[in-house]
Amino acid sequence: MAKKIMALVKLQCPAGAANPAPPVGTALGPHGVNIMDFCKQFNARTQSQAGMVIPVVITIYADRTFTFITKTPPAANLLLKEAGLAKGSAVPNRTKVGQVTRAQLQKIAEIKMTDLNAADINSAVRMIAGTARSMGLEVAD
Amino acid sequence: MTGWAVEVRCPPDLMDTVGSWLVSQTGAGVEERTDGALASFAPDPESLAALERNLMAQFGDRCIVTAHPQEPVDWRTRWREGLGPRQVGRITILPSWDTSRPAPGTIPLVIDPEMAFGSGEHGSTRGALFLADRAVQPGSTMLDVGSGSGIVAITAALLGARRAIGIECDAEAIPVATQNAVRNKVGDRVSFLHGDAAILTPLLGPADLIVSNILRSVNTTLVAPLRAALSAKGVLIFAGMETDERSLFLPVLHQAGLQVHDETVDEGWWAVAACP
Repeated sequence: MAKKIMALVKLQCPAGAANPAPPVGTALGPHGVNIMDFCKQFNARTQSQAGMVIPVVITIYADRTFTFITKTPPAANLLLKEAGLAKGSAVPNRTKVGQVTRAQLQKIAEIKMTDLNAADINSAVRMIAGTARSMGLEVAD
Repeated sequence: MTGWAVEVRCPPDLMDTVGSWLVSQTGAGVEERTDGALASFAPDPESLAALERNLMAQFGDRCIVTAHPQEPVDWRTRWREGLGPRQVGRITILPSWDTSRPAPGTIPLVIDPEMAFGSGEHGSTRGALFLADRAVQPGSTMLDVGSGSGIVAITAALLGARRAIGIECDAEAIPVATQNAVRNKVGDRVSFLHGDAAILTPLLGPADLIVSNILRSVNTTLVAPLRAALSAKGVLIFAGMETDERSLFLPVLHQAGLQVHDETVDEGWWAVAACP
């Protein structure tokens, strides 16, 4: 069909647990999107990743139908999981809260590769290492 | 009960980190707005104060937080506003929750806006439906190219086609369309295939009615294979083009040996029916 795009909405939602409360409802509702259907489809697609945060881009068409694509969890989310931490450091330059290894960075870089603007896996690892340092995680060789 | 819309601004390189932190703190989603802010929500003043305090402890002055009261809205039903019965030819399109009666003498077609284009809220869909209503014959066969929600194929079946097949390149639309056919009690006469229309239509023909509601560029490439799949006295309908594309598409039809016999325009969207 002749799909005319009316809006793009970007969200981050808990995997398998999106619901129509704000801010999901307030982001999609004014566009007339079938929020219950979005939540049902998103939760079905992401239920196997429970515990992760999933970025999602919703394309809304002129007749109020929609599609969405999910992306890989944010690097920060994956780093905390790898480091076994609940949160990062408030003062990452001074207070280190944990450590990640090169192998862990490589693992995260491989997961994130499809969504990163990285030329190769080495530059993706460097990007993930930068995120780790900004959260107060030391990178162990 | 009033809640609080929370807006967080932070450096761009922190957006992902702060966003996922907000999701883990609130257990709810967060919107990455186009103006660069992250939109979250706190249900009461205590939750708001705790969120601000924890955000400050976690990210310091790298984040700026503002909040304003937000009246409660039940978005589970509010999103439906503006949707209601729409009459196109002999069909009345109704959303599933609408209990009003269809216009006298019309056939109800129940469809909701979901994950497949074609809710009846767009002029290109209605143009295709309008011409299909005038062209479909009882007992005929029909192909719906770019079937999306299945609305055109289902309409053809409701108006008497004995067999309608939708072809769609978006795999996600197939289960939505199939469910719509079942919902409208024509699941035994309507089916949907995922694939390339240029390959599938010649294999599925000859059909008495073929409707292609796609972009002009795609319609142009499909003229030859669709004509090849048309029965001797069949009708070929093209939609999905704006009125200023009419002068560009008519020569394509003429070159293929097709004669225009019906046209319509709905909110600036042009649809055309042609015969060999």
